[in-house]
Amino acid sequence: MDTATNVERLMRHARAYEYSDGLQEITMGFLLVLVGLAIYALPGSSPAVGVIGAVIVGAVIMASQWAITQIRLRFTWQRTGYAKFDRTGYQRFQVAKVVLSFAAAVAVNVLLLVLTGRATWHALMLAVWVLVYFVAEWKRFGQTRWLVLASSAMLVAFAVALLPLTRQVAFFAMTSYVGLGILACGIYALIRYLRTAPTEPAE
Amino acid sequence: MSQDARDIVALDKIIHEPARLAIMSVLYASEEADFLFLANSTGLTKGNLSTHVAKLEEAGYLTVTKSFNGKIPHTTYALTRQGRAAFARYHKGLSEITKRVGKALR
Repeated sequence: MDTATNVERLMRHARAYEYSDGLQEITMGFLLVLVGLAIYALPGSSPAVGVIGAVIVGAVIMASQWAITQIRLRFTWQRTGYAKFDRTGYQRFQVAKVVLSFAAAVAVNVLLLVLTGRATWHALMLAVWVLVYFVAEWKRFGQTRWLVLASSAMLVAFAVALLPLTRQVAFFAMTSYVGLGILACGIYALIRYLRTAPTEPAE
Repeated sequence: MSQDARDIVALDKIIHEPARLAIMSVLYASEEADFLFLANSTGLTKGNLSTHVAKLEEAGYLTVTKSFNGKIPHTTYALTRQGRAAFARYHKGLSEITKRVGKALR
């Protein structure tokens, strides 16, 4: 392995540290499952319900970030050290990723609509979004589990798209699948972290 | 002296040392990191890490912040703007040399 490769590996390791204990994924997965359930339980809700839902999601995200910091302060950082996630350039990367994945999802939907005349490809559209999003994340952080999740989401989306489901049920199925997938990724990362991290705090 | 040789000589000697290159790589990818994380990531011993960190600090490439987590002392390191620029320059130079060597060996 040459020096340049070692440098890339070290940088990727430092970037991926944020995800090494799986806590971020567990939170995100749990939240997506809740969103999926809300979509299913509140069919045809008014825009006001949507706004309230968005506010609740925002509050849960903020509270979960605080909780994650507290857990890491007490357990993680004493054992495997502390590294602050570098957000320099990350916001631009986030915007580019969201725009690119949305454009890809719309393009796939339009293409399928033209080819098949069907307008019920919402699940597949969501899956393309997930695929592009997680492939971009994988390129930056190198977490292979996200590639597995994104590829399987595409397969599930094809199955969901072919079934005669309403848009609401299709969205519920996909959001829940992706949410449970991310949750599983997080639990897997947490188990791996607990197995490899020292049990006692470092001196 | 050929261009290739000049490029190699021009590489920043402070960063070029393997242990310091490892420290700089880790810190470049994070906003800040503590001693334990640096030691775990680079595989350096405490003594070795302290020595190299001191050299980088002396060169103005990183800053050291000492604080307390409750009663436990906590030391964090972060690259300075100068350190980030130096690493970016070094990384670019090294990548170009590696690319040229790769082509020559083919």
